[in-house]
Amino acid sequence: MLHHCCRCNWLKILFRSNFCQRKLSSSHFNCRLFGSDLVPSTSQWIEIKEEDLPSKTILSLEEVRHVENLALVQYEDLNFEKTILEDAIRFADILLTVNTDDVEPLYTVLEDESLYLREDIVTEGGSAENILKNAQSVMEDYFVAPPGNIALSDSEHKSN
Amino acid sequence: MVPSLFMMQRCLFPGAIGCKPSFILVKRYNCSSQKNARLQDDRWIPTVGLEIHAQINSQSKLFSSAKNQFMAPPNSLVSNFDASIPGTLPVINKECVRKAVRTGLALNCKIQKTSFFDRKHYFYSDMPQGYQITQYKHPIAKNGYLHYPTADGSVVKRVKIEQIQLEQDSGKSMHEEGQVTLIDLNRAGVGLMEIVTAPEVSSAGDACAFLKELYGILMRIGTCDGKLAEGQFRVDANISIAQQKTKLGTRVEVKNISGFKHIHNVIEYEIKRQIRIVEEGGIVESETRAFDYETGFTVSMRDKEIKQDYRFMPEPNLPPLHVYDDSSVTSLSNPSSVINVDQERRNLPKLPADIRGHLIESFHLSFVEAEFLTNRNMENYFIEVMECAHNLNPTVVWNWIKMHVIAHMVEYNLSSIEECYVSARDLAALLLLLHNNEINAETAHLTFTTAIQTRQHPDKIVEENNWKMISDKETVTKLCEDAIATLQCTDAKALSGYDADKPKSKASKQAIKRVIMLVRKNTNDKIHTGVAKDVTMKLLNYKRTS
Repeated sequence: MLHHCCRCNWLKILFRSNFCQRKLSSSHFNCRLFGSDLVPSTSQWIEIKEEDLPSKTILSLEEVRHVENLALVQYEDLNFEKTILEDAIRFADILLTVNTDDVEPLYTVLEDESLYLREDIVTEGGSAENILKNAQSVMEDYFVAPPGNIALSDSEHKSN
Repeated sequence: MVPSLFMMQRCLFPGAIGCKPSFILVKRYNCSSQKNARLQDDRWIPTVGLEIHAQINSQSKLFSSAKNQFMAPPNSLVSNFDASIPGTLPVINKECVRKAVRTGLALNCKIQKTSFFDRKHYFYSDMPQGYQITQYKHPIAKNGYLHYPTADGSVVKRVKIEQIQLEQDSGKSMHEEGQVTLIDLNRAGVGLMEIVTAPEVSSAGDACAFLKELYGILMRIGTCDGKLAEGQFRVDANISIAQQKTKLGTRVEVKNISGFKHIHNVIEYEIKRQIRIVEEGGIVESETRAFDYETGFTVSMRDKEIKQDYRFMPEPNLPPLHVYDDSSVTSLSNPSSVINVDQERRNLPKLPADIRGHLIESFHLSFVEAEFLTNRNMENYFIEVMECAHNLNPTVVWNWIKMHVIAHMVEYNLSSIEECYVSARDLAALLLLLHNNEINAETAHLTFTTAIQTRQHPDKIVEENNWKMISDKETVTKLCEDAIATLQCTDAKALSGYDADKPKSKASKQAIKRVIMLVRKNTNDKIHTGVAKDVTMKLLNYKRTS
């Protein structure tokens, strides 16, 4: 399997050796010959042409409203919001050019860590006053919120 | 409530152009009379998938160390993390992980050595973070199964358990007259095990049978307290109907049903509703419905819920959850800080199915009898009684436990058989006295009551009160012979009615009764009437033939 180290690629062509030919594994990527880092010393810009990307995602106004509902945000101008969203998606499209075949998804950078398990002892809570301190509206030690999703009553099923 | 109103209905299948209309017998019934109602329509195959949310009975919550308690002043058991105050992080509770592993093992699942947590995003006032921490892609246990008995144990069915995941419970919201909602976060963050089944259950009856077995297992392994009134065991049902077994129709979800009777009602109602819609030519809408406890109907929610997109994403604040086994735990410096699956497997108690099997096999109890004892955690008491007195008839012991021991526990408000005032050994002694005819049924009951009050051993009680009956064959025979002789002298007519060929006739019974009465008088009521009756009958038969 070939790897991406630009220096070693050059070397490989010259000496036709297998010095730098290693399996692409997620944590052991080390070119012994020059001891170069994974991180290049100068910024490496790769230009991605518009043609290399898939076609631009165009959203319908319905979809924009749907996203508004999910995210609980709302712009005044729906069309402006549509443009913003489409540009944002376009910007993220460059991720699609990266080849991720045979690469395990990185779930968390903490993947070598292990979740710490705490003992089952009560040490927190006990003060309603503290918890309610920041609330805008409180009624008898309850948070007050707008009415939520409530079931329809008799009128609906009487017609059944 | 009478269920039957038969109607002949002429109906066309939707889309069945050119087909002959078929007449279907439709049985209409009132939902609340479940016992006699049966869905009688073979063309539609209902499919039910269940998601059970069982609250883990840990001391503290899943990701915070606030107290896990049902009744408490509002918002008094809330940590900063539960209230989503910025700057707080989740720290998982070891006991919750242990109980999830235990449950997974009891349900024959494969415990995943590494599992991950995800965020499930949706906005609701009782969930301050705006997301719930759950395990969507990589849960802690997968691919299990459960065998459950139906029809009084004669049929055993199997359901696949897709997965068991750890997740947070939300807070509680109280709706005030449509004006505002009051939020109490005491329950927010409490650990839940979500047990997901494959859509394999095909009726409300099966669903309830499965849930009862699952409930019994969770109680037995001690991972959930199962207080239905406190919402510790909630069920979401996904119900659909199809015409073929291989297909699945549009599913309708009904959430947060608590109580077995309600679950039965909901599923039956929903199946019936969907069948009615489809047969009237309509299409079942994919939605989430709520459940009206009083009427037993499922109803649509007021805000037609937008198609929810939960935007699952890995929980960035939680590294992978590792559980270990005997081989991998040795390499750790501190083995007690982690969960060892093999250790948990060794610590699993006997499950209800095994206990019932043992009772049925060893003592020839019926399924119903075995289930009765197992459900009340009384199997050990029963077994101990049988072990103290091998000769006893198991059904007699069972009947005694069912009638007298349970009555005692109810009267004295005892919650478990261990608190019973009469130990298994004492009960065995008592029933042995009864079995050997040393006391009769009436005295036995009296002795039992006295044992409860005085806490004395039954043998001692019987002796002190001089309740022992005369029952040895020799003495009884002599007494009966004397009585018969006396009667023949004083009142010959009394015995004349006895007919050896018809011992059960009124006249025969009367004759025997006269003898017994005299013997009782002579022995100051100490005679064991049962034994005396047998002896008397034999003597009278003999007299007739001689």
